[in-house]
Amino acid sequence: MSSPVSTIHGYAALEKNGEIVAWSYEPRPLGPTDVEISITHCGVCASDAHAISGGWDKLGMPINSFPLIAGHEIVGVVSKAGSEVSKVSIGQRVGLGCISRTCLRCDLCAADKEFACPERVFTSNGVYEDGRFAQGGFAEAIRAGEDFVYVIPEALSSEHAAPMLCGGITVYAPLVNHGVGPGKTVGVVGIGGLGHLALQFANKLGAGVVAFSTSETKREEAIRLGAHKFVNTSDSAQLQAAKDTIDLLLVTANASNMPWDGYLWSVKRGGKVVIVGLPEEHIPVNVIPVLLNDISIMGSVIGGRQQHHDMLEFAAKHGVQSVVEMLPMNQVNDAIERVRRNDVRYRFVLHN
Amino acid sequence: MSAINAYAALEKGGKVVPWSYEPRPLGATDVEIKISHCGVCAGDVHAIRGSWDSIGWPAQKFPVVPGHEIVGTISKVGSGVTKVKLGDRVGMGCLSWACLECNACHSGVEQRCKRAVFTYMGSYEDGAIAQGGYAEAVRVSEEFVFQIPEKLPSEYAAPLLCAGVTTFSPLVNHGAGPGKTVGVVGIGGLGHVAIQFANKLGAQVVAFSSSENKRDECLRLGAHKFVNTSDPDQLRSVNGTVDIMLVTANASNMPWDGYLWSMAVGGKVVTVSVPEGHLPLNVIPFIVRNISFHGSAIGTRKQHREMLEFAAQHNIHPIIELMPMSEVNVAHERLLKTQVRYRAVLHN
Repeated sequence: MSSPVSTIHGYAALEKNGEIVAWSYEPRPLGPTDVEISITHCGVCASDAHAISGGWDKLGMPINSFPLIAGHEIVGVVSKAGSEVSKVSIGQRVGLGCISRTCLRCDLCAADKEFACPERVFTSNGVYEDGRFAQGGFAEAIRAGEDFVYVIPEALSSEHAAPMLCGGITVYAPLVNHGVGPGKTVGVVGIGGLGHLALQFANKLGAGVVAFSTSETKREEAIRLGAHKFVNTSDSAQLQAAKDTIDLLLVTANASNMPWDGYLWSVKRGGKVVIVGLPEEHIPVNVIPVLLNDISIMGSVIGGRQQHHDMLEFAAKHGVQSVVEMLPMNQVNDAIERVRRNDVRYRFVLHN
Repeated sequence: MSAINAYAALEKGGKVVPWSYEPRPLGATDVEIKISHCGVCAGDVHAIRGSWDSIGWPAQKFPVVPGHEIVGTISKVGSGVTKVKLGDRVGMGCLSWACLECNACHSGVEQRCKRAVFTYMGSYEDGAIAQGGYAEAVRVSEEFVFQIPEKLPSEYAAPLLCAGVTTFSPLVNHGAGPGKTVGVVGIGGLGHVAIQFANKLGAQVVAFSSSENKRDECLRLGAHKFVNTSDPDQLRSVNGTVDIMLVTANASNMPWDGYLWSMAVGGKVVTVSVPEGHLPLNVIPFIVRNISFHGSAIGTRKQHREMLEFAAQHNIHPIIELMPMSEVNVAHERLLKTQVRYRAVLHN
């Protein structure tokens, strides 16, 4: 039995690159295993800005239609529940990340690779199998499958939990997937929305942590967040000194003109480069260090459902805290503009 | 100690000319190989031209005698040599020495030993310069020579000592076999051998080439499918299907986006060739398809032996153009114009 359809008010870009304006839509009917979340907080991710500007079009990233309500780092309270919902209850404080539904039956879903499930639906900028477009979290409410909402541990406040639903999981998952821990040295490239969380996670996992940034101004903060060493990559001597020191290099930045040669040479024999930041153009890969040092370059995207739960517990237990700037949700345009200019320390969280 | 007659490039970019050098003294565990055949690898040409100077490849010392696909017979043995004997027909590849004591060597990846000495392009720790196989003879540690299986003629064994092991190693390291789809990009000296190995390992093989005229030959060599990468429809037809993509070509302007979108979820792209500049990689497929990018260089000593046995057992022969060693410059010119079908082998 589904509940009567009602209107959800939110903020949408009406066309590619358009300004975000107040807009509303009729949500899909609440299915038996769906919940509706009354949104209190939503983080602003660089992907939101890219989705609106179509910045990844030429790299083949699927772009759906407009109007588009972006936002996929959602925290709120379960306000409605379908008849068969069993995992959460009305009134619980939950989070929702980038994926709101998958088939849950295929090999990929079973292997924590729900992101690659052919039936996956993105929370924002996604399409359900009935053709209905999925609208995201810059809104007062959202509907999602119960399998993809995560109970927020009590020790985590909502505004600090929100950025973890995309930024956090995106760095946490590759760190644990690649066995980061004592004895390993993790490099984090880019001290921003993802990077500032990566430093903390890597440190609390027990690894040695090296922060790579183009600006000297982030040195003290990086050390405070858990870096044991800081490399200003604009200084070739510092970059040279970092040669051959890193087991896992997590690249969170997505600027153009990054010193990729320097990054690759910093990786030890057999080491890995994991890219989680999405630049708008191709990256220039120097094959020599890859070949000589047996380096692997891979991408990582979000993480499995269980990893979301694990990450939130881990963050609560070890005091991993997002550094956020709060804005009312109706100032979403300002937030997007400042994200485009990299003018945020380190994540905007919009609140209702 | 007598001089070894050879063919060398005397300076960067120079032609290869007759030259001779005093070899290093024959150590207790060294052998001298009387060379009968030496394959011509693109690496030889790149070393002479210094193609990789700008991206940090170790600098070349001149004069250099290139050539690292060497076959011949043992003509001298040091006093402590036990692994081979006079008269044995052996091969030698890209590596002439490694310490055999470090982590890399103990893990069997001698080519990643920090003290490794390549067959040419470098020097031994005592200062002697390592020179390669465009010569009548070469001296090398007995640890780095490989018996050639009886069934394998020398002219076919020679290219396998670089092209063969360089493609065999990543195929087995990444699990090429039944149930897997292997893509081979570039149908040249390495690619045409890779197709055969991948087929005999039991994988489904897809050949990727920019020219339609290699289609029949690829299918004959063991490819199950051929994709002309200049045709977007053909590229699209293999979207999301390749588990292991072995990239053997190194031209500029290769359709890398097309290769990456051919990868299945979790697929691995392995390059064994080094372009003269940077590769433009589109990060999106890495992220949405969970693929990874690797390089592979040569192979372990054990893999050299396994590869030679595998080739002998399955009758895998490179397709060669045999020519006298004195015609080495002709071989290089043909290689530069990508005219060789598919490996030039010089003989004494």
